[in-house]
Amino acid sequence: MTGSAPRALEREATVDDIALIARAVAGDLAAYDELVGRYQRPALRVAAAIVGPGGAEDATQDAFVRAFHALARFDPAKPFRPWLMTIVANTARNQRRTARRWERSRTTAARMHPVDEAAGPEALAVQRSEDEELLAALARLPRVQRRVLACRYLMDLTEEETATVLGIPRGTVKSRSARGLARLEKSLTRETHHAPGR
Amino acid sequence: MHQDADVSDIELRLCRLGVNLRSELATRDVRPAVVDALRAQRAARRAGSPRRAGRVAAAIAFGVVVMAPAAWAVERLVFDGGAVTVQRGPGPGATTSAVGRLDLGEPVTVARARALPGFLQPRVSWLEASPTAWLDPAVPEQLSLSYPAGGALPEVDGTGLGLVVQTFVGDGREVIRKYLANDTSSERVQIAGADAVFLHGGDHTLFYLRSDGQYVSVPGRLVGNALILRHGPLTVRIEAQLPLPRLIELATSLSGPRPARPGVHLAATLSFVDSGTRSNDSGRRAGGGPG
Repeated sequence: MTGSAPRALEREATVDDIALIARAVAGDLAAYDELVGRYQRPALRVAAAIVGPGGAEDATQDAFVRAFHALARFDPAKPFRPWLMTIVANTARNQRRTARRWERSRTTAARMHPVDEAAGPEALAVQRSEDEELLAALARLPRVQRRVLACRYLMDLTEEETATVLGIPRGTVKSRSARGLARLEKSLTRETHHAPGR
Repeated sequence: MHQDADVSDIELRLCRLGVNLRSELATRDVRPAVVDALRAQRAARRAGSPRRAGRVAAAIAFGVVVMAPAAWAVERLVFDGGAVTVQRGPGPGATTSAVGRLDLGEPVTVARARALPGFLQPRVSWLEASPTAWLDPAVPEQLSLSYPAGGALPEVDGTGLGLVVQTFVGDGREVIRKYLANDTSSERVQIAGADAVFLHGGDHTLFYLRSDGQYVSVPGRLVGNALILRHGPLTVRIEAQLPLPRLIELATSLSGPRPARPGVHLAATLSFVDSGTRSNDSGRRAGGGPG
């Protein structure tokens, strides 16, 4: 993970946030729209880490709707972002057919690689194929390991953030990460050996 | 993770995939769907349960207070068209000493403060010292008067101060409509027939709605007791280590720069503030009809 990436999951609710929250609690949807705009990016990441990129949008939308109804219970003395991310994580966890959603993420892999004249169609095809293969391998992992790897590597969350989002101790993040990586590597190696023409 | 020298191939692949995924996610915008869903829910509620919708509207109109699940007590005082949130507890960044948190702005002469629309001064016989007036250029609708400790004013938390009176020009409508509390350290009180809230035993932060529709947060300046009241178009906060009866006495004695007749205080004061606009001129028009 790069050190320059903004993380601060524990960032305090700013005065602006609280003002928007207060307006949203009073029923101002424009204020909530602005709040969603501020936090949708990390929310999408958290959702994607749990349900996969394919289902991230649905989960995030649901989570923001739930969060709106829960806003009145938000304690302004505490940071807003972790509160919101917990709702996103819970909503995403409650979505069914998670593994299927992860498999649907192959379509996301295609969307990730728009036509790039400079790279050339062959290089793009290889890259897309590798990404699809990796996503498929992730989808086959046990759910708990997949979520940790997705949080840590795909969504660039720190160990601490991952622990908060998934509701597990940091030590568990480490151990699941190590086991998941080993299993993923084994899975990909096996696939490579079995793949025709490789 | 990228910084580790011994990053495995699989980690690098995951990180590269992550970069692509994140950039793809960044192109998504859930805002329209979220707002549409909330509008639809609102419309369905209105259509399906008019009585409930009526109750919700009434709750908004008359004020809403929501209980905080944690040890922090949260009170929301909703005014007409706006909200004042009183947040209890030490708050983020709170220090044990109040000195570092006073931050009342810059001292100005009391004469200058008198010319401002938010000027209110308590006039009780036991308040012996003269106040120091403070104005924060960044938040010109806030005006503070501080009084040194001594006599009837106990010092608050080693600050040397015994009383701070702050006025905030709000949206200028009516009084606090409703007050609800979820802990025993706050009380609803009536001052000249208007609702007010007495907070004691902890720090707090006040949020109020400005006339331009923006919310402004104001942390507690002293760790003591606080009385927050609606006063014409203003929100007033009185902080001191004083019991409630004394704070009420201070509140009812508040008057503008020129109390023309003795005994005319709360009802007639602040009527000079003209719909949230400020000018030196308007500040001198005391004695008009109630705001």
